[in-house]
Amino acid sequence: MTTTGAVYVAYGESAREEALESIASFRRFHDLPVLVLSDRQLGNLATVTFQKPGFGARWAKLNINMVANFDRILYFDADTRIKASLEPVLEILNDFDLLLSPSSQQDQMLLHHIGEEERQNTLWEIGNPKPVQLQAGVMFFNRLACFDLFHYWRLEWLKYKSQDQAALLRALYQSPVKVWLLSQAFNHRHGEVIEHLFGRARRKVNIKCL
Amino acid sequence: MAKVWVRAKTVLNDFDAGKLITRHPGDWFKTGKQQARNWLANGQIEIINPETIRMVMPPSCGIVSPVNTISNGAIPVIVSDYPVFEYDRILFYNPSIFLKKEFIPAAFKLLDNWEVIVPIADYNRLACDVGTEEDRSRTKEIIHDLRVPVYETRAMFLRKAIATEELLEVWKEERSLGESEELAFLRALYRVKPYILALPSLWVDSERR
Repeated sequence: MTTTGAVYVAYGESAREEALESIASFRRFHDLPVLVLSDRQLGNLATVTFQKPGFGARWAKLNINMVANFDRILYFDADTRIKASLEPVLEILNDFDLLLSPSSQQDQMLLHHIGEEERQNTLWEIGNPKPVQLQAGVMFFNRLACFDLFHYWRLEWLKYKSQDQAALLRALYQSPVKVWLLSQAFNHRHGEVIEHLFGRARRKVNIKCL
Repeated sequence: MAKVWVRAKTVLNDFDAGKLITRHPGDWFKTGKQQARNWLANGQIEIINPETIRMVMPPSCGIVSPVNTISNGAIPVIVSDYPVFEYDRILFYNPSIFLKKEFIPAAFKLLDNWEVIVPIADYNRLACDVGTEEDRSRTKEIIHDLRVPVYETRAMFLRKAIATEELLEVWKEERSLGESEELAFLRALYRVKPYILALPSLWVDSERR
């Protein structure tokens, strides 16, 4: 039987508080198991205390496929709120490897939040002068189908140890998977399915870096 | 390292035999292929010599278009209303929209990794916004949720493969079942599941729709 579960990464007090709210919103629609990677136990939730989560806990995030033992993983940033059922997503995951939304930062704002060196190297390495920037704060994937992708994503992230979006583009280039693009309804400040309250989990962060 | 002839479109700083040389718009000069790709990707140069274009593009590329309009002699054009694999890699292009030509070589090269490369029509143009009620109903049955972007199929890059040949067959079939080409394409994509790379909508100029 195929197993499905939600996974969160929550380091620091703010992130843990946000994750708890997000999980509560998820529970209004789904009774699936939830796993949290954190620096301490979160209530009665299944928690993995993943050591050395890296800058912004990104190293922990990029290891969720190694830690969470679900066939299908629904990853949510801690500062998200689920506003509607994700049943359609579960159906689509029967057919595609990775579901996620484009970022609202495109065109002139493409990868604007990362260093210039990484930005230029990314565009050069992927051979695409103007790619779609993907928002990996909400992503749904088949763990086995995306195993190599996550491996390359970790390798790429280790080159700069900063944000993860550019590393994802480089990883996808090296290990393409079958992507079904969702709209920003699934990952946006005003998303009608998933609301993403960007930045709320980053208050009062005190994490150890890799 | 092999060099290619390029023409500057902007002021460029070029190194030749260790010396910094400023190139001005309109200057022809030879430069390394890697540098050429970089500048080409940023729209700072053009490569007009067909021989030179073939050096930065994969072999066996062609354009399929209802009208023979955009060829500069470098890339052969097949006139057809529907994509056909006369070449291993094709750009199916309808000139009713404007495609940024400087990106074409890069997209052909990207077909090394992907089977279908197509721009998103508009980030806010979703499957739930287009087509008739029947189109949307049929589409939702297949793709499960209409809150997904639609694609600009008038500028689509395809690599000849089992999946893409099937995609074109299924797209033809789905087009006959509804009015919206965009929704028909989404249904075909979902049914066939090729390796698809979405491009940002800025690759095409929506104002020329």
